[in-house]
Amino acid sequence: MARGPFRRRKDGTFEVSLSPNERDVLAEVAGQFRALLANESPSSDPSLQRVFPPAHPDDPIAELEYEDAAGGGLLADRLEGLDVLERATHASTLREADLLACMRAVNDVRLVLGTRLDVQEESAPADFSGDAETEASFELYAYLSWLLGQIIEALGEPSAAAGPNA
Amino acid sequence: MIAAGTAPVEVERPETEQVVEPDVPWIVIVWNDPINLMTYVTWVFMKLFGYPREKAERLMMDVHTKGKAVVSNGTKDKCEGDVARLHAHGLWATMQKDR
Repeated sequence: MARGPFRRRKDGTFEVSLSPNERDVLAEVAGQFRALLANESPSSDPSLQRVFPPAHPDDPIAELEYEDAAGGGLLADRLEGLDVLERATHASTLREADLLACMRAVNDVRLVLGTRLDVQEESAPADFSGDAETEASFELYAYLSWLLGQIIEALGEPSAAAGPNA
Repeated sequence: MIAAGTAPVEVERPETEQVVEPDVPWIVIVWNDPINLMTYVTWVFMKLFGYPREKAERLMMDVHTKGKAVVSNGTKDKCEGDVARLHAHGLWATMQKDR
């Protein structure tokens, strides 16, 4: 069985075995997502609506209150997660909290790519062939999906949450 | 027959009636989407709510096959916290009063 890119050590940290190319791709992805968060908003980019969905879709006043209370924290956490992902591209070991942050960041990028590609339940790779840009986006989406699965496998059964972002 | 000696009683009525919102619990709903991995959704339910794998998988399958599932409930504050944690993990969660 091939060894995955993350492996839990006895001391609770994770050994990172990403190839140089994978590290370059993840650093590029983190930078692009950071730029997206800096330059766009859910109202200007539909893919960000999926990353920041409403809590109260039928109650605009309650939704404003939720955005005031939670929106800033959710954005700050995502920016911090991208910092961790960028650091992870240079790391040989990661703490569990850092791998969790990478997991969330990788999934966020999948949400953006999947929304832009209009991925559906029944989608097949052949649906995204035709032009080079779409093919490249789907290839990245597929890689990040695989990587997310590898992170979940490395983490194993989760322990219950200890904090708001656990 | 009215008993003798019973005096009429004046009842004070409040000038305005206060409408008290009943303490209705809230529910948190996770909606199906074609992007989040089933393994990831199950993992998040276990992590955030401490659910055993069987319950987390059942909720995930409800989301996947029925389109949505109620994953937690409680006060408005508690549910907003749960929704925010689900949003932080990229799940499509909303909340509403349970009625």
